[in-house]
Amino acid sequence: MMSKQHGAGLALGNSAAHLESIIESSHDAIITKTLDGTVTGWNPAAERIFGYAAAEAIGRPMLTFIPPERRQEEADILARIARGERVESFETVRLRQDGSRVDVSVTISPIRDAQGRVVGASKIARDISDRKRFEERERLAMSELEDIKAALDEHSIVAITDAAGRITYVNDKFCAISKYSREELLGQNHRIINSGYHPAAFFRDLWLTIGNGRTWHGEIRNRAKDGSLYWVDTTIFPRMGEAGQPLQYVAIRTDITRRKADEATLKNYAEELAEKNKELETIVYTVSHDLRSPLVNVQGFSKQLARACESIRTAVAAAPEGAGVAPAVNQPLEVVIPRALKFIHAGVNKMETLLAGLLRYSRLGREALTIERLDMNAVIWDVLSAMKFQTEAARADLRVDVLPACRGDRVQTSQVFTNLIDNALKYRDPVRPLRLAVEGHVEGGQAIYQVTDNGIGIAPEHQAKAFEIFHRLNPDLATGEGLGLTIAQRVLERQKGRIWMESAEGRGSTFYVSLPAAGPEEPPAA
Amino acid sequence: MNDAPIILIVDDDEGHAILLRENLELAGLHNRIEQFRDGQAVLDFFFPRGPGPHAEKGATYLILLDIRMPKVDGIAVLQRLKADPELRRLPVIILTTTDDTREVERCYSLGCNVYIQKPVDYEKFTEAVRRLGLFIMMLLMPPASRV
Repeated sequence: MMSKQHGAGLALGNSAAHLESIIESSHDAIITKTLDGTVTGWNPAAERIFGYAAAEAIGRPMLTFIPPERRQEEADILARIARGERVESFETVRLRQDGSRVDVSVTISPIRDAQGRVVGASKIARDISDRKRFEERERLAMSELEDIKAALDEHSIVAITDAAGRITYVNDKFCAISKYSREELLGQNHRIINSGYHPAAFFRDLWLTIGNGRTWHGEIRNRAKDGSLYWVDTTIFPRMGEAGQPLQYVAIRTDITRRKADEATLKNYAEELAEKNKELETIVYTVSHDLRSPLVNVQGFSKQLARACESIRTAVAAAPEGAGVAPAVNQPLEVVIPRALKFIHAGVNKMETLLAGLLRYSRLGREALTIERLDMNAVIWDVLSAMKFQTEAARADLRVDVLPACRGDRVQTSQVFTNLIDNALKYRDPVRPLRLAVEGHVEGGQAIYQVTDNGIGIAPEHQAKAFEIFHRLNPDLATGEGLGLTIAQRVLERQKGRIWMESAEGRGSTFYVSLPAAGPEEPPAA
Repeated sequence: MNDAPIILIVDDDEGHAILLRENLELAGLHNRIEQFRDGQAVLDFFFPRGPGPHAEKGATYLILLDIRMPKVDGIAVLQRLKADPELRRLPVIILTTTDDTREVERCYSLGCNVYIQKPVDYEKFTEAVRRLGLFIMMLLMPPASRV
């Protein structure tokens, strides 16, 4: 039934039955219309593309299928057809029955009668919405790529070389940093910017990597046209052919000259610092020797003086009564000289203690640390066992909680706690028995231990001084060199730990020690 | 062979030298004692140079060597002596104020026989020198009795 209609509409007569079957099976819409634009023929493809059945479409003006803003098109087309012209592969938009739009490519030809007069038009319309969509996607992808390239050009130094290393593309940044013009670079071997800084093996490795289709990444020092050197962080991405041979290399670089300079400066500082530390050690060594050396004399000869005094005393005692020497020498011999010698002796001892402390402190920085998992209950138990005599003598009430494990150097950490407990013993309050508690918990990855006593405490204004080298808050209460807390602080800093205190005068002190917490216990070694 | 070895005190500190000498004597050592004020002086003694006294043929020596001295320090003296095929046999006792473990190790590796720290405390010093005296006597026993 349809074919009959079409056949009539397309006015092909009976002469070309096979042509009609082409029209029927065509994927393109084939439409005929009169010169005034009324549809006269509508094949199945037209039904599919426009959504109108032939019966609905035939007799309607062509304008039915044309979006309002494109109406002028139809007039133009009809005018050209009337003049006997063809309209070729004209891309436009048409309306579907459901109101949606469809991208079509149309070719319109005049239909002539036997006398050659134009009587209508045949129109072949191809649905190109798939192609349009594809083109749109491609356009978007392209513009995205363009954006990326623009961003890349803003950020990086880009060059492309062929498989032989000849430069085929450079961006502006490449020109700027290398100080060559684009014309000078294109066609040149990439070696043009080689600074000669890297050994041949460096580039052999590079070419081997990219030549085998692997990405190379590294830092290269290049030479600009004016001889200045610059560092670039470089990624070279090879493109390989079907047969696995390299086709081209895309190199993207970032200027890291500044960073390299900073690194060099930092390295210099580190070297200077190491040098200074060495100097300091030399000074400490010198001090330990040179200052102790005169002390040997002061002490030695004051002892000789004491002996000489003894000889004089013996001589005076032996002198006959009434020789008149005794009263004159008695005062200096019995009082002045012994007192002077006592002070000399005490001064020397004090000086020697200070020197020994200074040496001990300076050597701490050089002692190798063995960081391991420390069972702190065992550590504290060892410390307390070693101090059993002192704690029992002080009738101290000791309490040690279950302590978290930490990571630290066993010897030095033991020393810290020995020192803290020793301080608690030294500075206990005579009016009450010493109570000493060691507790611990984990907080933010750090094991925090606290050693609390009920001793004399430290006034807030003196607390900061407690950690100062050689500072002794209560020199009369106990002996010491004023180093314990200073050393504890240094020792803990080297183990990524810390020490601080809370104290109330007359009530007691709590010293806090933090060290990196240890993870769960490793299974015991077989 | 002269049976009384000469003790050479190499110390730039006059006081130390006197204290050493007197305490060695108190400890019962009656050997001849010579003093040198720096490392150069003792090197000139063994590697004859200049007008100063030089080592005598046939004499035996024992050296008490300080480390830090002007011109040539004790370490350099030790190195020179131990590098000489003859002089390397001389007993050398390092007697110095430092107890730096690196220094001690260095001296032993260079071939010093004993390393002693000079104690500041006079009593300890006396005791150290007394024991040194005993040690020297042992060291100086005739070779036959040692074998």
